[in-house]
Amino acid sequence: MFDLSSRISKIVFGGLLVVIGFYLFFPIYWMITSALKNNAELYQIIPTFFPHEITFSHFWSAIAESRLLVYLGNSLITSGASATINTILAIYAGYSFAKYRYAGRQPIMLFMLSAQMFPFGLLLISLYPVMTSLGLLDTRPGLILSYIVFALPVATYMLYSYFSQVPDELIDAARADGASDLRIFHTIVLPISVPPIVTVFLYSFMWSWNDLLYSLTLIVSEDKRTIGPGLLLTYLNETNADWGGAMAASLLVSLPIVIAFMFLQRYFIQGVTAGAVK
Amino acid sequence: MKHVKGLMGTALAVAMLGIGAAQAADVSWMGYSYAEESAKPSVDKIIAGFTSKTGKTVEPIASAFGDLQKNLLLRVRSHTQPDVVQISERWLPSFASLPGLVDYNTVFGADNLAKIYAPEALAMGQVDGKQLALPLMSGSIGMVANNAVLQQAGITEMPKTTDEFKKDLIAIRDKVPNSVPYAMATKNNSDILVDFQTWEYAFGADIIDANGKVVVDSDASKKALGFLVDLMKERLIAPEIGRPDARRLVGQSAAAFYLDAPQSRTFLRSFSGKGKDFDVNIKPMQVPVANAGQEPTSIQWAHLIIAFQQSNPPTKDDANMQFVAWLGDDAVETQFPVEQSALPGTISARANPIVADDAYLSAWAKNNTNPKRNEVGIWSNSGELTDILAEEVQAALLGQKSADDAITSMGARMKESMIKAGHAQ
Amino acid sequence: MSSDTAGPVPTRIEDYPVSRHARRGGLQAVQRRIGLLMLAPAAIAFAVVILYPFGQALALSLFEDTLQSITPTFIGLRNFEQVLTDPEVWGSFGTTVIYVGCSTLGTLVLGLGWALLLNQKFRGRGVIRALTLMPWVVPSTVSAFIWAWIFNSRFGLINGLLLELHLIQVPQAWLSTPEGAMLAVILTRVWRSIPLFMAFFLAGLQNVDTEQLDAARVDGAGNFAILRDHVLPHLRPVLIVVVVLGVIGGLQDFDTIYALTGGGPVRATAVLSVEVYRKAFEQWDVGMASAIGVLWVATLLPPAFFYLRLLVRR
Repeated sequence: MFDLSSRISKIVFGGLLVVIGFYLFFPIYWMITSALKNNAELYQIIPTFFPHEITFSHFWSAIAESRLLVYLGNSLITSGASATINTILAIYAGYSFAKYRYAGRQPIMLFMLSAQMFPFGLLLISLYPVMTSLGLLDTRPGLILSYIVFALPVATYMLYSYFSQVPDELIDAARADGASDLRIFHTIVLPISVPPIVTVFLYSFMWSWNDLLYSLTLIVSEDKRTIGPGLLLTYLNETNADWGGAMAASLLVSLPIVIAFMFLQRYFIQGVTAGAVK
Repeated sequence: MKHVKGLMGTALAVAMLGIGAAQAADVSWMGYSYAEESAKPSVDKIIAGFTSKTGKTVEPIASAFGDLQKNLLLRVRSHTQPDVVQISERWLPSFASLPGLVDYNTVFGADNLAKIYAPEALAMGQVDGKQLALPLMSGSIGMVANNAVLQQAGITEMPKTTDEFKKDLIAIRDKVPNSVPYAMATKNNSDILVDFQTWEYAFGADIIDANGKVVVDSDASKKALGFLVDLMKERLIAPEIGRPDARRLVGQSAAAFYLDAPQSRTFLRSFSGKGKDFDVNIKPMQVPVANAGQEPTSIQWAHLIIAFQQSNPPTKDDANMQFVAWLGDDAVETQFPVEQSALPGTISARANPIVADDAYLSAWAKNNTNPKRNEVGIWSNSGELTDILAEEVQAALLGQKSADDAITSMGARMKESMIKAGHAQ
Repeated sequence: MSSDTAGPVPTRIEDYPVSRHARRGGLQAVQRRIGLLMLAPAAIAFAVVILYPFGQALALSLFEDTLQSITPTFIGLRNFEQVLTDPEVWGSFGTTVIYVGCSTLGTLVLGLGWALLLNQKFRGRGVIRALTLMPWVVPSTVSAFIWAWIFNSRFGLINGLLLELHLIQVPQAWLSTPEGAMLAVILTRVWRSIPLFMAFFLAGLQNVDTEQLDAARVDGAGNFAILRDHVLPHLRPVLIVVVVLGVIGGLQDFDTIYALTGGGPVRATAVLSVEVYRKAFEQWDVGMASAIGVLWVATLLPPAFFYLRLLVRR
């Protein structure tokens, strides 16, 4: 896009790459090295850039002594399930908004999107009794349902935006062959919509994955806790300030999703390209 | 399509039932010790003991200390309260109005309870003449010194007055590089509350009197806060330190003094990485006072047990009342508190050699003879009061306000909060 | 199609662009039913987890509902009276504007810059693109941990570096100064959000017409002119979406701040999301918390509504 043949443009390009890259990646490096240092080296006024002596003790104790893997499993289950539900709901709602016309279509959509500005903490106050009356308090399904709050509107909008671009000719042609609307949607539209659906799934997933507020409140039992509050309550709390452990645990819980994203990122960017931004 | 949806709905419902089904135990016990990795085995032991004695089952519900108040209140609001709850003594007043709370006097009889529990520990569970809580363990929040650091700074005697204290802190700052001489709590509102209150008492000041009148706006308070601001200016205390940070600093001999409950020993053992070998360095001491001859004070501290009635009216035969009685049994009381480095709440357990011969516990008791009530924590609006106090103290320590202004503003804001909570000023 | 080619602004719902076959006469009723059927599951979920709780909160804001009052009492608008005369709540509004504004703007600039850089072809680009998603993918508690550790007053990297360079003599407690704490939470927020913004900008950049750029270059346009006259105008629709996502993310951000500063020091980073949580779950004044939340919605909804129409109408 830009012409980088001149020297000055090369310098500017390289300079910016280094500066922004440093900001993005150095903290990750710092997390990794901190996790590998022993306590004596970690708690120094002047930190060492490379660990002098590499120790895995923080990792072992994170796995052995805490419920890290339980938290991780819970987070994967709740985030995965809520992202799935969210995506399914958003697929139909998005298609409905994009391809059908009925009274209130526009206002409903606008209202849904605006609702994304309702403070989550406020909704939580009233969600709590709702979950209680459904018997879902302190359960994973309760948390999964609550997580719909986070991303349903935006997910719906993204898919609406994508489906709007699916040419009507495609649908009309299929209809001329006598196919029903739902059939057309399931057999013709959905198969060509995989990247945006993946994008929406990941977007929803990240909201739940990051959650601290809801899980902190709706979950009381240790064995159902997710990573956000789990990490906070294990490593930096009333009785503890274990930075090495916190860094090691952080690294461990991040790993599965980071690896998954390495594979999915291509789809993710494709999906964004195809959908939400036209 | 319809089939798919139907299937999904069924699957979801089944999953909810499966996961959501509550285990039906005879007693549910919510507490924070169960959330602490080090205390968990002890809690399991208590429960196993109860089950083998009575054949009744207990379901422990872990809740982190900082989270328990919120969790309990949310559960009460949604009518899913646990049967028995372990609480910190300072939360009791804010829980006192919860519906269904058991007055133990009506179940066990006040006279009987007085025979079992140590008077000052029992008193902490009383609100308006009702015995709403019983002590699981008790003690006070007092000052702890790290002897290794004191030696390094050439200090041989514990400071008695605030002047001596400051002189010692300066010696530590100069002789122990990169140390925080006094690891005062300067972050986390509830931690700041305890530290500031201790110094208020040391300067003869009070925050709120027994009738709920805010009296913090006094010269003594201004002196107390001024003293702390001065320590900050001299780099004798440091910002951004909460209780856990303080424990780590003292455990690693990078700080000489801090305030904590007797559980301090358990934490310092673990944070120093030396276990019981570190005990020689842990010295409970009296909180220094502003004027020589003044009686040193500490702050009352206890883990209490409250219960929600299982039958109306509650009787001794209710499973949860049996469990509460079990918690006062020697089998529990000579073990759990000692493992947590705290005094048991019962008279007989305190007389037991396991407790009586523990040098640390007796040193603690000797140095903290005059524990005062937490003047802020006991009000129902303590959450707001704590936030106000901590914000003003922080503002003064960080140099955003003068100590005098901070105290004046603290007084005004606390008054407003107390009026709102129904206490005329 | 992009918004700069759109025709006159439609004024009636009927004028909004809708699928052609949706307009066909006889089928309309059936069509409508199918459309509504598809919308129904989402609408029900929306009603249960968002609308109903919000209605409840709206009602609660009219009640005195504190720890002492197990059954709430109706007090009309008194909560609002109190909220509106409370300088702290106003302070929180200000803090929120600063936080959301700075972090959205910061992410916008850096996310766009990073997308432009990674849109050039160079060796290792694929790897960097993949790695860039990392800050977005680590849980927010983790990002708060990392930055809190970097800013730590005793063992932190920043203090270590500055001490080593003799720029400061004694360690500074960055998170204990209002500016430092605000800077830290904004830096963390921006760090976390750059990847998502980058993805959107990269997507937008794929649609830039290269022939047009080549033609401009033949006419003598430099890199800067290309950026200003061709690339940026093209990214306008992306910009609208990204700003919405950024503002929503910033406003709703509780985890970064709660885990990093807890709203402090004093109240320097007490944004509204933290304020609502504190009022409700630390001070147990549910009525007041609801009132603050309702006020927040009331302030935001009108501008949000108009702005979001830009999104929906394209």
